[in-house]
Amino acid sequence: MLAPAPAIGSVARRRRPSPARPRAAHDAWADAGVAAGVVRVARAAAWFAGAASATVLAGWLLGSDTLKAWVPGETTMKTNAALGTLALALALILGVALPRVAGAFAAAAGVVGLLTGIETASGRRLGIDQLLFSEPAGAVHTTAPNQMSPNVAALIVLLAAALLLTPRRGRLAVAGQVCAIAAVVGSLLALVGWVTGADQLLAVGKATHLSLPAALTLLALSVAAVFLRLDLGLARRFVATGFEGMVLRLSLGAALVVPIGLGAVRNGIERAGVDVAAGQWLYTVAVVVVLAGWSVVAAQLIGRSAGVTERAERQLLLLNRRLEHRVDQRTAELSAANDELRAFSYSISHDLRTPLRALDGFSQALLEDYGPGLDDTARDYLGRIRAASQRLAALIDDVLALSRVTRSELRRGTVDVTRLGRAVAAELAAADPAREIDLRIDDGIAVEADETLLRVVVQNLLENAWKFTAATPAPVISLTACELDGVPGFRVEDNGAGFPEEHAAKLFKPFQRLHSSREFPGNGIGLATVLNIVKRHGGNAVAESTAGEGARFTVTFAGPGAAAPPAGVPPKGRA
Amino acid sequence: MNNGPILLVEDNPDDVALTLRALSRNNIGNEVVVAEDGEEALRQLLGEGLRPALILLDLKLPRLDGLEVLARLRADPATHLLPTVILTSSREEDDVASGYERGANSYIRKPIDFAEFVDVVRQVGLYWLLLNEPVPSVAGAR
Repeated sequence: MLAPAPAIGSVARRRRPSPARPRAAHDAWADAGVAAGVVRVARAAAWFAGAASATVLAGWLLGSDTLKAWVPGETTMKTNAALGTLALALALILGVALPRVAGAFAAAAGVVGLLTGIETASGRRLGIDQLLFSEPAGAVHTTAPNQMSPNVAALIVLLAAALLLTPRRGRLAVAGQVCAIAAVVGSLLALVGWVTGADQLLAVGKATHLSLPAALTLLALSVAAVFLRLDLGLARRFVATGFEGMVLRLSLGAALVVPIGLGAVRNGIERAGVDVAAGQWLYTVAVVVVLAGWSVVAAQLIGRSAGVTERAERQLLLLNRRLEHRVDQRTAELSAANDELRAFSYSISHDLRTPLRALDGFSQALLEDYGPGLDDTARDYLGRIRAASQRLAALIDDVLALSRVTRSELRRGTVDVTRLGRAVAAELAAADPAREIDLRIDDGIAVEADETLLRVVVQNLLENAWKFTAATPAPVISLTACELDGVPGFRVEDNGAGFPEEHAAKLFKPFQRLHSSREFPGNGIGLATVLNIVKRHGGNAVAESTAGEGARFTVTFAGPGAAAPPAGVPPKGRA
Repeated sequence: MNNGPILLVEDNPDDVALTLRALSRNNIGNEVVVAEDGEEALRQLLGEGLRPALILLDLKLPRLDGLEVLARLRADPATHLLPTVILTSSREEDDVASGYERGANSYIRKPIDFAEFVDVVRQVGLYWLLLNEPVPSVAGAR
């Protein structure tokens, strides 16, 4: 299982092979400056670890104890340990460019660490320690010649696991970062052991000591490993924007630096001859003072954050109030416009009709009272005046219906289209009893819509079908349930005159007619009203036809994104 | 047959002429009093004590509109039971609803087609002047 190890600071690599992104694009949660700084530090740490490991290996090659141990006369960093840390450093550095190679390096380091662990646990030599370079027996703090300390082996295994797991997904990635954090703690302990001279921190019992180069190298590697991914766990919080990130960064810094630094100082004082109990108390008081200082800083930070929040809230409140005011203003304007429109259509409805009644009425009076004295042409003219005034009256009614559609409030509910269709068809049949039409209305058609407006739609569509099948020998009109763009709706289909396909879009424009009034009477507002109603519901209307072969109108009353009512739950009735 | 007068509240002279013609074509011989605006109608009813057998009320009138006239009629105990039929051009839902709310006995939209209008007037006359039993006090107050 060779998982590719990503580069330091890279964001999770998903399955798709993306080009290398050395400077990862962090999202809005990350403070860009901090993230870039963290990436730089982690990179430098990896390079330091690589260079340190190479230095130790050079020491083995040249036989220089100074290069092997860094402090003359102290424990040397063993060959395999240096090889392991070098492999880990390379894995961190190569992560982006060569993820598979990086994975292989990390796995190799892990294997070396594991084998050493087996050696230490079993007390047997596997012959891996002296493979490259041999160390004379009896070296400082060394149980078996050139066998790395079990502490180093454990840390290498932890780091190998961190580099292999972190690039994966979910819990594995988190486990990887936990391994890296554990390695930080382990290497920090070792470093503290070195700084304070506490040998018990460098080895368990009589085992080989952890060397200074190993402690520094492993600490550098662990820090780099924690920040392998900035979109995860502690690393994510560390680079976070705002006060969360700032407080965490400062607190973590204080938590690491204060006790260790003061511990080292205390150690120095004790070595200088101060009594151990006094050193202990000095240390304690120093920690208290520093932590108290830090508390003040933290409180200030939090206070500033609260102030910022409060200011933002006040700002928001103010903006909200302004917005509300503007909405009120606009609503008032709109309702004024609406009232004007209402008054206008009222006056159309009343004032335009009145002269029409006079036109029709007095023409009729002329015909009745003076008919015998008029010739055929005069009577024909009067008939035309009457027909025209009646057509204009119907037109006014339709225009009013169209404007009413946009004015009335939408009240949605489940509408039984089947019942509505049958009622409208019965009215049409009653008004025109001579027609014989094969009417096919499906059972159980229902849509979520305003019932009053839906009736207008059904009425218009069925009336159209009725009208345009007038010249068809065996007229068939059907009303069926269907879907349009995944939204349930219904469809009215006939085998009447139809219309040329290319005119389908024009059909829904007001006053647009595709047939002469002589062929089929009408004013071209019906379908405009249908489209208006459908659009008010957020739905759609589509007309399809081949001239001479009938037409098909499909309507829906909701947008494609609208959630359908859950199956089995009775939809809410009209409000 | 109720022979009381008919009060026609209508401002448009064409409509007045057509309504009179429709009444005469249906042989409705009742006296017709015409009020050309709302104030005139109220003056006739409340001021001069006219108690018609039927009021035909247009809604859109100068000075005082039909709905206001109706409200005043219904508020006055002397006229609150007079049969009043709103006869108008509007079919706006608001108008119909307000008409009934203010106590109209009936709401009829004038058809454009004169032949239809004649038939409407015939039915209204038949119903309110012949079929319908008038309120006794109203009949007596005449």
